[in-house]
Amino acid sequence: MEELVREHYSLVYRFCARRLGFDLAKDVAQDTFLTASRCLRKFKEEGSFTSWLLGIAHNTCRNEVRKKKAQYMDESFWLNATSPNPEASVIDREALRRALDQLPIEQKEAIIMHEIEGLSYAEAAEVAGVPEGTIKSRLHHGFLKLRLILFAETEVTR
Amino acid sequence: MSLRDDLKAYLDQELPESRMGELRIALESDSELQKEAQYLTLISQTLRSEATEPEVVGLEAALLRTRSSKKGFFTDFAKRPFLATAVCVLFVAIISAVVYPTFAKAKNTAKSPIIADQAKAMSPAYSGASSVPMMEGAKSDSGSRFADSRSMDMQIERGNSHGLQSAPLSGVPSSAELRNYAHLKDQNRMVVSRGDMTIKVDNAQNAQVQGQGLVVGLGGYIESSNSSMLEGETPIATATYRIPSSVFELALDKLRKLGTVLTENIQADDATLEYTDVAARLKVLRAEEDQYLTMLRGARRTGEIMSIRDRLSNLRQQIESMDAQRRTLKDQAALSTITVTYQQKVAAGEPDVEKGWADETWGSAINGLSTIGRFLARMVIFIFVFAPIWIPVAIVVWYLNKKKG
Repeated sequence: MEELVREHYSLVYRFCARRLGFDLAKDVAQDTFLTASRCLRKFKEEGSFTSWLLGIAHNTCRNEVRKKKAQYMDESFWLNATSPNPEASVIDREALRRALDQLPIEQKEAIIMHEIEGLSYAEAAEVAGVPEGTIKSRLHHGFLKLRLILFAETEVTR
Repeated sequence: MSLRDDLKAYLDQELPESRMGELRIALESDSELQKEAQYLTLISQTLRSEATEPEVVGLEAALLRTRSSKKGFFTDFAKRPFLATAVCVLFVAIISAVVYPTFAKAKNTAKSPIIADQAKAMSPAYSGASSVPMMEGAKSDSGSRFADSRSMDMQIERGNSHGLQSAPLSGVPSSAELRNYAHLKDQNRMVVSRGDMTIKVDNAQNAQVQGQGLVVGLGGYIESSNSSMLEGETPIATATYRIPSSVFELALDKLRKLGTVLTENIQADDATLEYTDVAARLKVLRAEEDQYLTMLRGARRTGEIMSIRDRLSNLRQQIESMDAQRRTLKDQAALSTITVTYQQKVAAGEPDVEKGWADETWGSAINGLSTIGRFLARMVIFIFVFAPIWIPVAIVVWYLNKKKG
């Protein structure tokens, strides 16, 4: 179990940090591994261990939000406070933040999992506990909305 | 599904090969679709470039916690307050349900030697006819004409087959203890002793005959006897013996050895006061008789003689009646009564009563179910009664866990 912790801790920690912020991420990450150690026997080896572990982290984060009424997936947790290269960026960071704020939680979550955490559709579906088609649909609608908000603004600005 | 709906999935290469091909062809010819694809790609790139890469902290703490969780059955258990509380409550309830009756029984048993000692301390001297001591203030509930006398009821119920030496009921000395008082004989007391016993024997008739032999050997006689050997019923024989009071206890002992005593009831009524009263009244009447006889010898007139004779006649009737009472009392005190019922044992393999096994099984099953029901009800009561203890504990545990969480 210690080896698993060393190998996957950073992944899980960042996963939790993007959803709950740095304050709660440490505790939630520890709880995730405790749960995983208790339930290790239930893990079916044909699936992906990472997806299984992140699924536990996802549920633990949700429980934490319910228990403490914490903020979930606020943009400040996973978007840079300042843009690393503002001149090169076509899309304004603030505009992006505003646009993301308008998305439902499920679409935001799908975007983070796929775009930022690099999970495939199948892995994201396993983590979120939904069918793959649902993830595909959420991503499509999320991006469509972002495109309509961002590029309509851009076009208006221009 | 339209091509636009799958455009994002195409860009992410998450489509089946055939669909990928379709979109590839469409993109080559559709400029709007291409523009759309560019927007989506741009958004995706922006998101990735603007995303934070949080600095990882807490690995050592996570490792430490994972290590300590291995020995943590109880820690883990303690983290589930509801489960921990429920188990504690159940444990307390079971222990209470099991231990409490034992305590209560021990307490009652501890009382009976104390009460037996008190009985010994209180008891005055014995009668010469029996070894049964008297208890101050005890009342007789017999239907005999000695109801006014002071008496002591000694009820000894035997429910087991282990003979007579079992512990007496609370407050009542055992037969063995009573025999220890034999040295305190008081020749002046008149005690009417009665014993009733039911004895389980191998053969009722044989036992009755043996009993008769015993009684006659001790100087007693059989007042009455009967037996019942009806088919389908347990053979029973009953006999009433009159035994000299001096061997009352001895007779009881010998009769007990004929079989297994099921029930035993010994009663002793103190008739001393009544006998004394009757004797005293008799003495007075005799003195009065002597006076009348003296008067008769001195009487000269016929009328006077007739009057004295009438009074003498009445007086002598009273004397006879009183003397009869005195003789009866004396006779009853001299000869104790023992009634024995000999109940024959049922042979192995034969039911006591025909067609009884089903009823017995049904009865046992019902008893078993009611025992379980009583046990569960007892546990519920204990949980309820102990609520002032476990509820605060549960609240504290819940609060601490919440605070820690």
